[in-house]
Amino acid sequence: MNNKNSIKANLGGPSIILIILVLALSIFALLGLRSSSNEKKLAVKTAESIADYYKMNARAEEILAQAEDILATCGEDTAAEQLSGIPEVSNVTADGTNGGISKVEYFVVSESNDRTGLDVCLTFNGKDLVPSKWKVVVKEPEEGYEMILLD
Amino acid sequence: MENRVKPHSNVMMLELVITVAFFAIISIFLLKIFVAADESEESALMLSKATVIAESTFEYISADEPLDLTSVSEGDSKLLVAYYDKEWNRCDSASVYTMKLYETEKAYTTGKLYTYELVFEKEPKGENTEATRILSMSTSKYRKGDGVNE
Repeated sequence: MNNKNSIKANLGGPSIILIILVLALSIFALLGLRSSSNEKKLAVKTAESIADYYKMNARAEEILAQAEDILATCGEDTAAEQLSGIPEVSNVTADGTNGGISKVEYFVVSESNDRTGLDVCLTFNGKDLVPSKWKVVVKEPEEGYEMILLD
Repeated sequence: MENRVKPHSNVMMLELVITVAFFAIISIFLLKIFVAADESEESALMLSKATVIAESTFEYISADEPLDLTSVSEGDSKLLVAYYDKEWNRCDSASVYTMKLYETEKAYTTGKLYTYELVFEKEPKGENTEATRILSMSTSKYRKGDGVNE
């Protein structure tokens, strides 16, 4: 009778172990896959935002070169007009010595995210245009904007 | 007694065989998931490392610091190269990863605008003959006075 009971108890044991093992392995495999795919998404987003920053930086440097060029080649009367012709330039202050250009402000908008941009202010020290502000600005989200925490 | 145990042993043996066979089949799919997770993690790590090195290179350019890169001429643009092994340590010859930095210049009245295009590639492995592009970024740097007296 005892023998019969012990044999009955052993039947189905491997199946139960298999079910538990397969379940555990599946959970670990899916968690691993999810974690690594999130890591990849984060790496891609980081790379994209850094590439985006340097693209804005490149445009800002190009405007700086154009502004220096305009100041060197144009007269003071036409310089302000020419500088204002650059699409990104938001403000040209002409209260320097003898009415010359003293400040050039411009904003380069990010190509991928229009809420982000590079805010630049160049101050003319009589010889060069020196950056007094070179800052990444992220605009506040509009009302009703929902932040997505989970993907 | 022996007659009663034998049929049960056979059933148990059959159950074990079915279990092992089923586990072997399931393992194929599970292994595929583990391998995919490993590959995805490896590519994420590769991209992160390349991004950090690219950012550091661009910061050196912004600060006008000298770059420790090998110069190679390629067409009109100047090409600077750096090689990295599989552990991302710098090495002298082509190994696993290559960073290429193309430099082009545009002259202005007061100076030059240098444009840098950075490309990170993974060297071809096995049957592949083309390098895999990991990352591509670009930036510019205006240097006043460069080329003015030329």
